[in-house]
Amino acid sequence: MIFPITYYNTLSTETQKILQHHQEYIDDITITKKDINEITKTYVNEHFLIKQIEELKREPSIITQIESLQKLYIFKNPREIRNFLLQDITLIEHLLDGYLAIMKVFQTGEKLELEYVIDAEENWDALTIIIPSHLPIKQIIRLERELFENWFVYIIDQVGNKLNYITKPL
Amino acid sequence: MTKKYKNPPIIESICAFQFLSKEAQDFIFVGQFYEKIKEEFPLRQQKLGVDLLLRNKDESRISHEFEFHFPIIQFFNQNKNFVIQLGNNLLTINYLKPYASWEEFKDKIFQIIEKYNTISNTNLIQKITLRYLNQININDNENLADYLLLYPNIPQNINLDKKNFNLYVEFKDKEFENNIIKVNLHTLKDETTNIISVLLDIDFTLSFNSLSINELSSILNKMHFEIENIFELCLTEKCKTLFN
Repeated sequence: MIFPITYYNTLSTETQKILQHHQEYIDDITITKKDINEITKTYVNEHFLIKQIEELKREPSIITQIESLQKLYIFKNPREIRNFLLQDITLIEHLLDGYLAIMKVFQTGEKLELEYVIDAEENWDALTIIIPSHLPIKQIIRLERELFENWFVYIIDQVGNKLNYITKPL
Repeated sequence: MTKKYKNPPIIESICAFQFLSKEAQDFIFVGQFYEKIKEEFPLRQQKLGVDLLLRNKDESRISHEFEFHFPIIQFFNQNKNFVIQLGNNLLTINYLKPYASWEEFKDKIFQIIEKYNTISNTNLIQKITLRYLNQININDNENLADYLLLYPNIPQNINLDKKNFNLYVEFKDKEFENNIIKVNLHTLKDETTNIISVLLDIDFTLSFNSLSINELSSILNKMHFEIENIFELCLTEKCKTLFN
């Protein structure tokens, strides 16, 4: 199994290490309880998130997937977001993967927001993911860059200017 | 739906097949299938399937495993309103609005199934799902019960404004064994407009020991008839005027 780099990068370093190990020694992976205590927090949270995203991905209906995105994002203008996603349904997959990537980098307890924005003069419209964060500005800037390098840079050719993200310091 | 409306509320129709096969599919199959459909469905995207499991190996050790699923590959037409989803012995066809007719959708299903069968090692079907999602928009100053015959029965004593609802019912069709018809009626969340959007989702799934492709046409017609019947019975005549 070859992991797309976008997905692989959304996993924590510990999981990436385990995954690398797993690929080599598929039948014999054991870790002690002491080990697991050290990584449980990241690991279990990540496990839960991956499971949640996988479940949404397995949903065969495109419409139901769009509705399910509201479990992950607060839709600021639901009607416009639905219409925009129906114009380009490939964005749904990026919003699902993006959620995982953002949660890994920012580890925010705040719910992410999604907004449809339009610039009529420029004849341009897009979806913007808004990431609320209590972290200091310097750290937010660093994490924004990390998110770009771990996720967005790999999808930028596919999403063009239809999807972007900003942070909202709280 | 066979009954023609000028503006049908269908926003998505789905037909899914689970094939009977002892062999798991691989990426060679996906490549061969793409060759067959790429003129009409040139765009593709992969949904990765991976799961993480934690298990107690013994008292002091916990083992963890990655469980890999065959990924689902999506193929889109240029307008991105027709989607084929290919999983492990699983074929799903999604048709987004504008919906033309059942005849057109059925033709498309058969075209895709035929292409699938030229490369698949099985043409026996284990499960079929036919599903229609309808969006009905009603002004929020209207009484929803004037539009919907399938509607939650809310006691009058609850003197509160309704915000959203989600109603789910399962039926069994008398004609078929191993079948289930799921009807889900729920509001789409949107507080920013004065329109209430209701989603009527009718999902008919039939399971077989093994069904030959030759029998498919009549089965699909019967399933479609049943879904159409439920659709018509769930809505009032006032509601249907919205579609004309």
